[in-house]
Amino acid sequence: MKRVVMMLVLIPVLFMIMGGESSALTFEFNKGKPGVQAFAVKYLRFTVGGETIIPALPANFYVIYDSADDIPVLVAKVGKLNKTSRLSLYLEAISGGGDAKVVAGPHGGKVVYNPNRPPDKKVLSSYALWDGWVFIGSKKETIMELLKRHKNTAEIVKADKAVSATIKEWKNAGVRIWGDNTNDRLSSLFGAQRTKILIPLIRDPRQIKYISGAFILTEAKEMSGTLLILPTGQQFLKDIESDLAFIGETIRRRLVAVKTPYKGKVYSTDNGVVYETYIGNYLAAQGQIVREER
Amino acid sequence: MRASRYILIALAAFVVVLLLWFFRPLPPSGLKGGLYSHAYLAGMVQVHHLWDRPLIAILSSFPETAATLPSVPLFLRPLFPPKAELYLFSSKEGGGWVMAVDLGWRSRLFKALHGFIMRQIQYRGFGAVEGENTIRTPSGRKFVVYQDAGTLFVAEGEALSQKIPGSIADSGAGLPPELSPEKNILSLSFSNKEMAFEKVVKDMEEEIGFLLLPSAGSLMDGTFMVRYAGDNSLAAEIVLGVREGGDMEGVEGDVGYLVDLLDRALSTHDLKTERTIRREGNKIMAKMIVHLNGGKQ
Repeated sequence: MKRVVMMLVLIPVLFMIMGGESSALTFEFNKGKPGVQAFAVKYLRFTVGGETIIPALPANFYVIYDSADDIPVLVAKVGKLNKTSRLSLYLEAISGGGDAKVVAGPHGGKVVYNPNRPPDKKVLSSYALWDGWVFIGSKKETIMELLKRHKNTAEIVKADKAVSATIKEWKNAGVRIWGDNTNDRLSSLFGAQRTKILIPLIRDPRQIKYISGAFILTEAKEMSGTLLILPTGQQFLKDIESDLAFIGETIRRRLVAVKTPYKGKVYSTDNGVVYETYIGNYLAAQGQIVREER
Repeated sequence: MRASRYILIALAAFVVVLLLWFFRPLPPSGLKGGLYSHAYLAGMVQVHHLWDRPLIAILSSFPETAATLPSVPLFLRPLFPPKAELYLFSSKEGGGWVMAVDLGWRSRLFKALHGFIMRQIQYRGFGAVEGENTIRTPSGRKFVVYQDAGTLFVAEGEALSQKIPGSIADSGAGLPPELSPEKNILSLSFSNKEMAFEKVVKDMEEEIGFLLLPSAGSLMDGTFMVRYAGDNSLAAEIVLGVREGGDMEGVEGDVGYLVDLLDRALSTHDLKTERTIRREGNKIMAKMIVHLNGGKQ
């Protein structure tokens, strides 16, 4: 069934990405930090029987956009799962209980999926267990591909330390973001999005080499943080700066109209383009600028 | 046999004459003359150009319009009047708008169908007919549907619905000189002499929760035109007059943002654009040329 969802920006990157199915981009959520649990429950649409599974996840979890045709994969280190735990019950429901089918994962773990769930339904219907980590998604193929490309679990959720070190909020952030455009993985994601959104925020995603960002949330729904985009060449600094300036201006126009405090600054350094922002109430950023079809 | 043939020919000739008589155009209404000078915003669209390339190709690119214009059957298209005009007014009794359409050869047809159309509006639940020309919608809005000579007027606004369009506003709002209608597919002029334009923008911004033109208070007047620029290109031009002491940079920034927004929206449909924004005295002038099929002319 075709559904049109109207949503606007939470933060610049969420604005660009979370509304659509993407890949090669990782969001790390730390529920131990203020405001993150409420934020994740509100904006991450991972549900089983209409109930969000976010509270059942450990404090640290990841959302990985890995395929343009599928929903993101939810990843968390869970250790040995207790069969009576809330997460185990969710996993059983996701895979269809007694009807569940199991295939071997690329590294010896198992991938469990619900054979009765139509593959075009973008809902949770598969999961994989590997080395104490759980990977939850829709298509089993997406999870298999993600696992196949990495040697171990730590590699799947590894950010570039050299880049993240330049972001001052990185250490204390409740939400971190990073994405690598090696093999045009980010470009293909953004490219797939161009057919779904009304206003493209990044004109030419091929100009992006790496994205990194960190955001601090508060219980009062404030959000502050930095987004850094490294271009594939110095000649693209201006274009990326213009994209980030446009994103910042769009957010500003929305927030000022609803009388919410906003600060935003875009500038270029030797390495890349930096967007620093403060939003007084991220809930106020919701509106009708980005249209997404599902 | 021969006699019946003559009768048939005579009958056919009579029908043709009758049709020619019925479809002979009525002259445009004289009431229209006062509209432009009294409005604070006037717009015009050349309806028959809506189905021409490249406009239809551009409109078809957008999902919102893709299913509407191209789906109008060819045989129905001539029924659409060639030009529609829109006027916005402000007065002490309240604002309102008037749409004026010169019907041409359709004028007698519309006149004959006026009662039928009004009854259909009521029958289909769009509103209750009050008197000969007034419709009140279930939400309480009041419209006038009125034909004078060859022009059909549709008006909304409590003050307007009491009067025949023509002498509506309190005074002339000072619109810029009327644009050449032949060259433009669409044109729009506004005057902000009495800050009515700024009020409309602010009301709209409040409704949608988004700042579209926060510098509207600095504007004196403005025009917007869309015309063809070759077989595969459209040109859009905006000229905004900034009042003395107004925020020139703010206006320039707003125009830049809106043009960027439009440019990005078009880029998702493989429509390439060229754009320029410049200052000339107290005016900000922006021009955008949209090329179909991603190529330049």
